[in-house]
Amino acid sequence: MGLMLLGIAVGLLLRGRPLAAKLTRCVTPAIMLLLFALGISVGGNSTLMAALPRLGGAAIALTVGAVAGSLACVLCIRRFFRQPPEPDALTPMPDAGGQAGAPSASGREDSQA
Amino acid sequence: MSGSLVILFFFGAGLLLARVGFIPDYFIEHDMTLYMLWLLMILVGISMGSDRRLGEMLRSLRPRVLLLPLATTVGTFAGTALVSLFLVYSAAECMAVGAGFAYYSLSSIFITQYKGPELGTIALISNILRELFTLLFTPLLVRFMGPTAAISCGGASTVDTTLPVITRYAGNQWVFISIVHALVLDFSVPFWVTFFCSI
Repeated sequence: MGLMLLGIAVGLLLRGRPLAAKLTRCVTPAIMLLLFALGISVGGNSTLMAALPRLGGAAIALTVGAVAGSLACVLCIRRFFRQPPEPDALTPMPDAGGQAGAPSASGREDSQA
Repeated sequence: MSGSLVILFFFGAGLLLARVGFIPDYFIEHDMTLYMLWLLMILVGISMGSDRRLGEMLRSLRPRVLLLPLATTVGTFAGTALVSLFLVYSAAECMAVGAGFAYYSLSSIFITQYKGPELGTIALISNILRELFTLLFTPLLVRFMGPTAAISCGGASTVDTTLPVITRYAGNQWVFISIVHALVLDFSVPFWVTFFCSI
């Protein structure tokens, strides 16, 4: 957590410089490397490999629960959103930020126009 | 979509290579994920800090707009806590998985670090499924429950991977709230996940 705050501070200092954009672009490869490492630590662990079907079942149950809960809550507040909130202009994203797998830059720009 | 497939490919590649013994024992005995996590956290921090939209978003926020991410958060935690009754994992662990809000990459790494690769793998699969579910069912959700349901279902992914499909079926006027919703959740992921993991 402390490392992240340090990163935010560095990011604020670097704001507007090309170095910041370059480092931001490194996030996606870093995430891939990390998941590769996660795959290695799971694959190297035979008890975990044997439990994979059970883990998948738990994952499906949790997804269903999370989505169902979200939808139930949204039904309660839906009446506040008869009209969509007025769009304030946001600067188009210069690059895929912290999210992994965000290659849809063109779709984003089109839809904001 | 292609992004999540690439992520899954890297995870699967690591899994397979370690399984067939292609990876030197050194990497299996010495967990590399921790150093990768440190690198990633600094990079994510830098990208957050250098992102102008964070300030703009905070200035343009009205309380009403925050209702939607709030509903997503409350609903997700309530739903995963309920499901935890039927699983061997504690409510806090299940809520940590839910707190990924479809932001599978970051949340699964955090959870691996705090709770081990077992729950981390669940988090990865569960949050990828949430994104897939949103991509597949947005047309139905918009039609029967309204645009806010689709946005809420998408969680933190409604700013990139699922934004095109939401725009297509809900309309351009929902793009703004969709982006704000995802950004609020995006920034809350690290805090919620570490919070639930440390309980």
